Formats: sequence, C-alpha cells, structure tokens
Amino acid sequence: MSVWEILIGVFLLQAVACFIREKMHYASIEKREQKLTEIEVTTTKICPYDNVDTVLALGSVVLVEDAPRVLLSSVVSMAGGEVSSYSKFLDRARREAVLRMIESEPKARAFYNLRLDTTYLNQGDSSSIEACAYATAIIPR
Amino acid sequence: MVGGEIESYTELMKESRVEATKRMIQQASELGANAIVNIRYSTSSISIGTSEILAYGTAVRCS
Repeated sequence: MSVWEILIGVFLLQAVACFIREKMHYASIEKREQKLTEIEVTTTKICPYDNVDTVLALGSVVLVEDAPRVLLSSVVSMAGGEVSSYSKFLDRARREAVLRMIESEPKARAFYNLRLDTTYLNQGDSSSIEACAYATAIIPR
Repeated sequence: MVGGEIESYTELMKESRVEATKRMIQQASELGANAIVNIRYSTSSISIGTSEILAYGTAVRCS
C-alpha cells in the first residue's frame, strides 16, 4: 500500500466518523427539543405575565471544525455557493446553545428576548465556533 | 482533526462571560443603579487563542 492510499483511507474513515457524529448530535438535539415543546421561547421584548421572577439565562457551546468539513468547504469555495455541511454545523451549535440555556433554568416556563451570538474562534492550528444563547427566563412565583 | 465539542473552551467562555457580567454589575452599582435591562453580549476573536467578551446593558434605577 502506498502512502497515498493510507492517507485517503484515513480521510474516508474520518469523513464517516464525522457523518455519524453529526447524525447522533442531531438525534440528541431533536429528542431534547421534543421534551421542551411546551416552553415558550421568543425574541419578544415585552413579557405579558405578571407576578413572575425574572433571571438571565445563558447557554453556550464551542464546536471545533473537523478536517473533512474544512476540505469540503475549501472545494466549494472555489466555485461559490452554499456549504450545506457548514450550515448544519452552525445550526447544530445554535440549537445546542438554546437547549443548554433552557436546561439551565428548569423552573422557567418561558424565555423572552432571546438573543444569539456566534463567534469564530481562531486558535492558530484549528478553528472553532462558539454559539451563545441568552434570554430572560420567566419563573412563576 | 476529528471535530466535536471542546468542553474546556466552552467552560472558559462561560467563566469569561460571568466575569464580564460581574464587571458590568460593578459599574452599574457604582452609578447608583439597582437594575440593568436590555443586556447584550458580544464576542470577538482578537488574535490566535485570544478572545474578548463584552457585556453591556442599560443601568436603571427603579423607585
């Protein structure tokens, strides 16, 4: 076996591992979202409820780019267009951040004034993204 | 290389955000406020391995 064959083999294995990991993460996100369907999460600034306690809820996650995704995006960037693997990557990070925010306040019945903040963190050898979700948690008294 | 979550980084960002929030509250109480409304966070990657977290809001005094 030549060096190239080994390199291509390793790359394909990584690609499969990344694909499986993404599927598993989506499955976990969807399962947790199903449990929290009755909780109201909105970007509305004004809360219609009286007699409630309010607290700032925050959830964040840092995801690192994997090698197959970086390669795929650099191939697509030559021609332009949507990098769907990246859209999914960011979508996963944001949904995970929102879920963590909801889970951080188990007593809250609603979350108002939701805001999302996504940043690209440059670490030199690898790059990762951070998604942060924060809102006012409405807790009944 | 393999992707996934960096938990130590998530933890670091969380701690930094708490620190930024504390400093904002400190500043607001020096101004004589008893509440901060419309808080926003903003993050930027300054250089390799360094990021800045900014927390800002409107300090108010309710009577």
